[in-house]
Amino acid sequence: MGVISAVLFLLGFVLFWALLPYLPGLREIWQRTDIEPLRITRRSEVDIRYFARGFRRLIKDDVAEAVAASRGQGEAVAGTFPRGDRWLAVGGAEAATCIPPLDNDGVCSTAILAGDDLHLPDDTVHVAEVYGAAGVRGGAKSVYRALLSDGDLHVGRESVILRWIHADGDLHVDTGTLLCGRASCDRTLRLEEGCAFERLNAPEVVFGVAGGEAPPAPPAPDQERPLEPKDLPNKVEVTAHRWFVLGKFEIPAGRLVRADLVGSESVVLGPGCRVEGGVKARQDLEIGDGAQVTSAAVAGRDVTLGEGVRVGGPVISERTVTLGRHCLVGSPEKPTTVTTETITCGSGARCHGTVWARERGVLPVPTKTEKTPETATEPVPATEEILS
Amino acid sequence: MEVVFYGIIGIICIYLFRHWFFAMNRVLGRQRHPYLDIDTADWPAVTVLVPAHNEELVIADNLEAMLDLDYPEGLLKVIPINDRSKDKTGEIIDEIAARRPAMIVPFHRKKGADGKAAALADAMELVKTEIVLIFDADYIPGRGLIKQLVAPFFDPEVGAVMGRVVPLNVGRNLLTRALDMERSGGYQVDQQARMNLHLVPQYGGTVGGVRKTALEAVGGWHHDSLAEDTDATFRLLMGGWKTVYQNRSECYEQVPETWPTRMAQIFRWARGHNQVLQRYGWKLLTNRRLRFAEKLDGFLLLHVYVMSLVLLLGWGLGVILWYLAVLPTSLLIILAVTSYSTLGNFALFFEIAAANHLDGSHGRVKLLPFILLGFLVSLISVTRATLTQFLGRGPGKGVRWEKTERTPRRTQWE
Repeated sequence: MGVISAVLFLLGFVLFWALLPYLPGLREIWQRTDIEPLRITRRSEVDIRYFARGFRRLIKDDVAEAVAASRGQGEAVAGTFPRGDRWLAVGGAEAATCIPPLDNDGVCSTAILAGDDLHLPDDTVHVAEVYGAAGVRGGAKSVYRALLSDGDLHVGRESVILRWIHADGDLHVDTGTLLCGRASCDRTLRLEEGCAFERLNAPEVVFGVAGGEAPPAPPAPDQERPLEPKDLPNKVEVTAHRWFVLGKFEIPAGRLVRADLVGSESVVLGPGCRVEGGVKARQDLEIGDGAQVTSAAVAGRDVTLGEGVRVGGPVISERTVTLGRHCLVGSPEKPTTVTTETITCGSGARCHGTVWARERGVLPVPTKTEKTPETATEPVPATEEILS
Repeated sequence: MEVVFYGIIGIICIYLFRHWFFAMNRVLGRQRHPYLDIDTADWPAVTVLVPAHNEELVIADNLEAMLDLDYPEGLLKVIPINDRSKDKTGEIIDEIAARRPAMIVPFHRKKGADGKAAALADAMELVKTEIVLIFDADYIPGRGLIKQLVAPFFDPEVGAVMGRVVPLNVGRNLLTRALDMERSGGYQVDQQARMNLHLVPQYGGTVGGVRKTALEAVGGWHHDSLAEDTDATFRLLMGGWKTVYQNRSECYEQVPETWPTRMAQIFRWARGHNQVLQRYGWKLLTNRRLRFAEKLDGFLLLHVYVMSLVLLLGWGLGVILWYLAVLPTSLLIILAVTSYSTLGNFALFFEIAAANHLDGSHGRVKLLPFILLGFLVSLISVTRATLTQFLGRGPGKGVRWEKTERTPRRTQWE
């Protein structure tokens, strides 16, 4: 091969090698297989009731007449949804002592739709939705794909909800139950001790029944002598109604602060103190018994609310939130959100709005020393058993 | 020269590691979205500013989307800023505002300094709310976007918030497809990684917002700023206010469809960025409120547009040193030049590839080598901007409103 040929060959080879990565791209430019913009949905699916509403629409569109006809009737009516799933409309005595039809593998794959109060048996696995136009009482130790009630809804002990649950009235969840996915109601949502959850929403969410009486409110802080930045040993920068405090610091017990607080490390609010603003700790935030924060409580790590603490705004943590006994987050007039990875709730804690645990939320069974005489004495499964 | 050359390689390698680390963090690390789940709250009053200068082609879609937002009645006010438009922007705004006069309150700006920053500064006098969101006129917000952007402000440390910008006119030509990939890399990976790592997410001037008292505490909008968003980001950061990036808060935009428009855009960004570097580079390093990681990341971020010049210098030195046969092993220089040219500044490729994978856009990843074209064009534009800025006209001179040319919206978005 002559020199010229060799040079040409080399150039050609280099050119080929350099252009090789462009071949798939040239094909894509020609075929234009992936030219649509990233899909953004304009709808706001953050609504916790989205699936419940969708199922209710399905009932209204397809089986409303059958459900209405089943009210007060003794005979059940069966059918099939357009999507192919079976349904069974029950009413009257059928609903009161419902025995769901089971498949060969012992599960109920038929959606149960009740026009009257629905009572479901224990130890049943429902892989289809269950709906009650009046109230619904689920059996113990059962598994439900989803539950919807136009009235009140009571979930039996040690049950599992797989996708979602919603009641237009009150929702009561017996001990040892695991709520996966969404749980909501339009009145009061009450979880007994031993339950675990992911996402809750209701005008009022009450944790536990064994908390006993709420402690008396602490004495109000001295309104005439609010805390000043100079009262703290740390360096404090005051900007726009906000104190930026360098280093760990603690607000002494019983004091009043009229500002937003931001701590560069951990923050402790002493018992009985009141912050008229929000609080942010880049590390941990600990709020002592009886303290109040009128706006948000935020931490880069853990938030711990003591007994009887009141927080008016969102509680936001990037790791864990501990809600002490009888603490209160939000109000009926101003519902809010508790959001974190893991939430541990004390008996008697209440939230108005959303409680969202991205990993898990638990309501531990109180220890012997914490139990009140009213607490049921029969054993309940440990929370770890529920979650396993 | 060898010392300088290897110093440049070292700097390039720092950026290489930075972008590679961001890509790995985005794909493998723990993702931070602490405010995303706030769906119930006592939502505060909000004002949305929409600066508009000759935006007749796009402003109607923007305002129609505003009318459909999911936010409590009476707590949302939209102020479209008609900044001396010579087209029908003003008429379109008035027509739509007439349908909801309590919500849309036009501001027809007839005098004052040029530029978006100046327009925003004037409009801020009309803002009575603590939280102010800004959208460019070609943006179409989703129904839930306002709540998503407002949620971080419950945190008293947050001074600004930024959502994700998604190009709508992707399929127009190769340029728009390349820009879509760049945006994807910049937001889906780079911004989110900086959020994950508690570094310096950047407020981008649109699909975002600021806390009014925070901004006023650090000096408000600067009229002579070429990049008011970057300027605000760093002033807020040094003032102890965080910027939050919300990756799921997505909004459509139009990217440039012609190369001259793109070059003008990148030229403006480079000058603005370098202006911020000149003003705050040293102050950033000496600020006591910031952690070391924030200072380092902020410093690297400010030098992004200077790196083009550094890269060209490095290539030049590499060639010179090779021809001078200075080092005992000339091959070393060739290797150094080719290796850092392949990986260094091109580490953005890691981010773009990772971003497209996360978006599920596997077809367009094949276009990754074509990003080189855009990179070379940007290199020229950015170098020109940097040279003229530091050697010619100083920062702030000749500030005028330069905006991306619009094209009629061709895609109907549902």
